[in-house]
Amino acid sequence: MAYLHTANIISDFPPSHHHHTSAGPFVQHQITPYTNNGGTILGITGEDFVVLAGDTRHSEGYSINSRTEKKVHRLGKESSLVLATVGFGADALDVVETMKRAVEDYKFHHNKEMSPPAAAQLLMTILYSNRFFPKYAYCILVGIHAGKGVLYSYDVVGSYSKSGERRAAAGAASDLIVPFLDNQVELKNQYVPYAWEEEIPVQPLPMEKVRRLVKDAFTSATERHIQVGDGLQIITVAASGVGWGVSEEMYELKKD
Amino acid sequence: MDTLIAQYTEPVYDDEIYDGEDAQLTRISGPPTANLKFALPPIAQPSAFLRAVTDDHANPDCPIKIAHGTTTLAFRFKGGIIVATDSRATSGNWIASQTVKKVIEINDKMLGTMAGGAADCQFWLNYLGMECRLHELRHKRRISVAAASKVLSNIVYSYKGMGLSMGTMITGVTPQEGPALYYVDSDGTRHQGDLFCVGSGQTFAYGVLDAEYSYDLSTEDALALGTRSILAATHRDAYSGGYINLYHVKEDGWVKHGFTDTDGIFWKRKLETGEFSNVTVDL
Amino acid sequence: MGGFDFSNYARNAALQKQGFPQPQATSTGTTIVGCIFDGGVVIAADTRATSGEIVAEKNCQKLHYITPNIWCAGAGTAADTEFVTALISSQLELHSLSTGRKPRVVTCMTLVKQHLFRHQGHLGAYLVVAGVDPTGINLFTVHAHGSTDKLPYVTMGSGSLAAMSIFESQWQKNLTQEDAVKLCAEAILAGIFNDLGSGSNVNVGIITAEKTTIKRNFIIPNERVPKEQSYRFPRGTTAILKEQMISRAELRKYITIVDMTGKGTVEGDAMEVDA
Repeated sequence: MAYLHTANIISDFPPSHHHHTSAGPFVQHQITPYTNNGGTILGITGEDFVVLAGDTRHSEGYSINSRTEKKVHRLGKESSLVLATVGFGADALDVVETMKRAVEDYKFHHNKEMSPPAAAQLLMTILYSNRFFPKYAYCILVGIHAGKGVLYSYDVVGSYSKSGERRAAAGAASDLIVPFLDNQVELKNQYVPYAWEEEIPVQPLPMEKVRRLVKDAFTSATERHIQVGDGLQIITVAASGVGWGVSEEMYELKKD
Repeated sequence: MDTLIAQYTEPVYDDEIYDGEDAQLTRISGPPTANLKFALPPIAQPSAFLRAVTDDHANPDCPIKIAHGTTTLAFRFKGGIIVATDSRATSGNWIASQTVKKVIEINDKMLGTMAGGAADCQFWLNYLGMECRLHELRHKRRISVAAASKVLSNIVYSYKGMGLSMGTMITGVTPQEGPALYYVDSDGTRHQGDLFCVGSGQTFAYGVLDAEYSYDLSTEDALALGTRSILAATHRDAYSGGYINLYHVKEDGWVKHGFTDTDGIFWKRKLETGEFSNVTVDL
Repeated sequence: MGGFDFSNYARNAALQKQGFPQPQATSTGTTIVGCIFDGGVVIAADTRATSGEIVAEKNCQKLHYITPNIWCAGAGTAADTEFVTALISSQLELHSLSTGRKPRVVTCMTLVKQHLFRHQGHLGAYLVVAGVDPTGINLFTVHAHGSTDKLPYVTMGSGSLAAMSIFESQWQKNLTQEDAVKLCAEAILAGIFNDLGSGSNVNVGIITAEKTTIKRNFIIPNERVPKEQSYRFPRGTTAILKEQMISRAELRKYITIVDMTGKGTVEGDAMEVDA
């Protein structure tokens, strides 16, 4: 059964089955500017550290473009800032490049590293500057601020919470991972056993526990989402003294 | 020929050329959004494009989902202004967040509320904060709420038809106006009033608020009414929920009255007052 | 055979126009292959079933029984492959009974293609039909609209290109049974790893004049690593609004109890449970 595949028309995006009825006298033909390249990112903060992770599969439709494309990026050699992006690969990388350059520029101009709250606001400005032609990139930005791990997550046009968040997930399997995080990080729907009305108090998680949750989130997402798999990249930023340390770990994920 | 070309072209970022000391002040890293240059798709109808890819009402399968859905309210009374909101962000049927701060602190005297596109509200209310501060610096006095809300409505009106989505209430107390409340939305509408509810849950909130509202409410009762109205909306509107964000605006600035889980408030009210008898736990 | 009930067609079309999302059928995404060898035919399939981007079933059986000597590998809409093969299986059984002859693969293929053609592609069944009958070794593909092919090696499903790349580079005439099985398994593996619609394990079926052997989970190349921790909750973690006790004696008022210990129970695949 061969269907002739032509370019999609912009006024009918994504392609639907019905034909144009009142598109006006002109129909503009245009290649769709977005592709969903799959993949998932996930971040969790602890007391004095933050973990940001992503899988390394880059896909298009039923095909795998790459098994080793990293989604989590440090924004500077001396900076605690780490940015993960997911969605349309080209837009996602463009946002990262813009942020990297801005962080570097900031250092040249002010002779100090850009603070996470400043970077967070800048990222919003960048995303919002594309309000009328959005970057199809979901972002999670983390860093160390005043000795604490901070995490910000964004929608595609830049809305975010200034006070930061304890955890966030975005991308293909975020629907699968967010409920898991609600339960395991925010301890939602968990009560002190037999003290029916007392919720289990939410406390900062130790680093080892966070790593375990991240790995389990990704191995589970790999089981049930076809766009997640191949490799897992985990970047941990931990405060130490007045500075911070950054480490990267890579793990294998299933490749089917 | 060169002059002809020069006539029709210009450097991409003309203002980025470094010229002496001034450059330090004008050049801020990143793209030039401070002077509000927005990237547009290279097609004839950018707004139609934007609607096709982002509007989940017109197109449920749109690839980019923008957070919508809300209940917000604000009302004037003798003790100032009460501002209350829920905290849920949804994209389609997905609850994107239960902890959104929908009250935006424009400065320590003025508040704005958020309904519609989260980024639109955040960005333009933040921008409004900047304009208000510039007004203070230029005129050596604080901007009136009337003027501030008009600045905002003028801005969004200039983008009319481009796809901005926001329904906001601007509140504040100034010496010349007293407690002032304005409704501004992305159509360009601007109203002054005593009482507004905005968002997908507005009708539910109006139902409670109109029934119990009086200008002579005590502060305690006014705060309770704000909470109860949002609670009613979160109970019946699937796109509202999470936490109740409560503020009281007074002459000397606003006071925050908590960010409280609706679940706890609901069960407390049900068990203590007998309200919500439609909810049963019978087996 | 009746045909489709179109009584809700107009309603559903109107709902779709209003933006109401239509329910999604479980598709078998799928890589399926078949290959003849000297003495028989091999078919093989992956075991992933998807619903959109979500894996609906990790270890499903896509090799369908028709008769003892004829089997189908199915791709496309899971329900359609399931029901079309079951229907044809039953028709062939009756046909065989009334003629007193062993069913033939061509007969099966013809019944399938006529059934599918009658439904004009609305049944999303893409099948590899394989078998050995008194006329010899047979291998066909049938597409949803009713077209068929007869070839020495075939692939179908979203992973068909990946699988075909293996056949086109490694297939040769007069394969031994062992080599044919190996080649088919290799083709399925290509689908499993390179096609997102295919995954998990390899199921193989070998049909010769003497007997049919179905090897479920012939290769298990994708075992899940153990979880990092247990997610067992202590008893009493879940909030309770109201409690009601029903005594054992009263229980029969609410449900019917049948003791099945030891007999009549069917062992399903064990569910993933935390320690």
